[in-house]
Amino acid sequence: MKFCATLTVFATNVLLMGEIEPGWTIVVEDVGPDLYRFFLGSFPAHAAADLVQETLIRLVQKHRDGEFDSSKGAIKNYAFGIAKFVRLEALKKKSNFDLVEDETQLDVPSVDNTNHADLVAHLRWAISQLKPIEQELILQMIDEESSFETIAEKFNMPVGTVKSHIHRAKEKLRQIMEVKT
Amino acid sequence: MKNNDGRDNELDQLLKPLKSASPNDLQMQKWKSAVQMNNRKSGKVYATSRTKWAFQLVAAMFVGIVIGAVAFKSNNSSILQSHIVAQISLDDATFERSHDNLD
Repeated sequence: MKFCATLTVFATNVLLMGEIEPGWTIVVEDVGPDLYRFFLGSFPAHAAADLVQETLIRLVQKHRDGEFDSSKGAIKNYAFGIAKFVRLEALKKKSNFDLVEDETQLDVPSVDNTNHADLVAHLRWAISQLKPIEQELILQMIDEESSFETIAEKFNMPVGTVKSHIHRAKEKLRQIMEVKT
Repeated sequence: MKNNDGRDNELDQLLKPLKSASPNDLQMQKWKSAVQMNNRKSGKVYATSRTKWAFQLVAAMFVGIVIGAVAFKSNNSSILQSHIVAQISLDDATFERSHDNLD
């Protein structure tokens, strides 16, 4: 009797281990625009859209493989974790194809303050001038829901360190944008 | 200038062009269909891994039942045996010795 009870408990636990599949259309609507803005901080619009698609596909695959654990955080945070790697991979690929040594110096975009695409390109160029850690933190700050505390948690850093990095990055950004505008 | 919700107003102002950017409907549609297509494709893999997992579960249950049955059987026989031994020794000890003592 005791044996049967143990067996039943074991079987129930195993059956409950599988995650319930989310509605992917809703996930895309919820996470897609935020991911797009995140990638837009480093890549032109068409490349950003492709990288969002790559991130979403990886998200579905990882969910299928049971790698996503909802008890450890929301699916949006998980998607941003994947996006971080996708961005680094894309930057690495991009640098492999670059033949000029200092591409950032050649890419200074002309700015028309009335044109939104110009402003985005200029801001992207300014972000590319920052240190890698500053770039990552600034890209996190594009998301309206991010705060110093949530970023500190994500990057496993003290809140004070995050604040000082972001403050320094902000000052640099301001200087770069003032000079080049 | 930092505000109460853990954000920096000046930085928000600087990042405004990026914050106001949003994907168009066509891009959203493209992502949705890419995700749906991938979901269907990986469904086959999922079914295969589920079948494999179900087989493992059945095998584990079978092994569990066999071990459980063996354990129960060996326990029962030892209890029965010790009971018989106790009965015999009880008869021997109480009856004969008590009669001996009376004589």
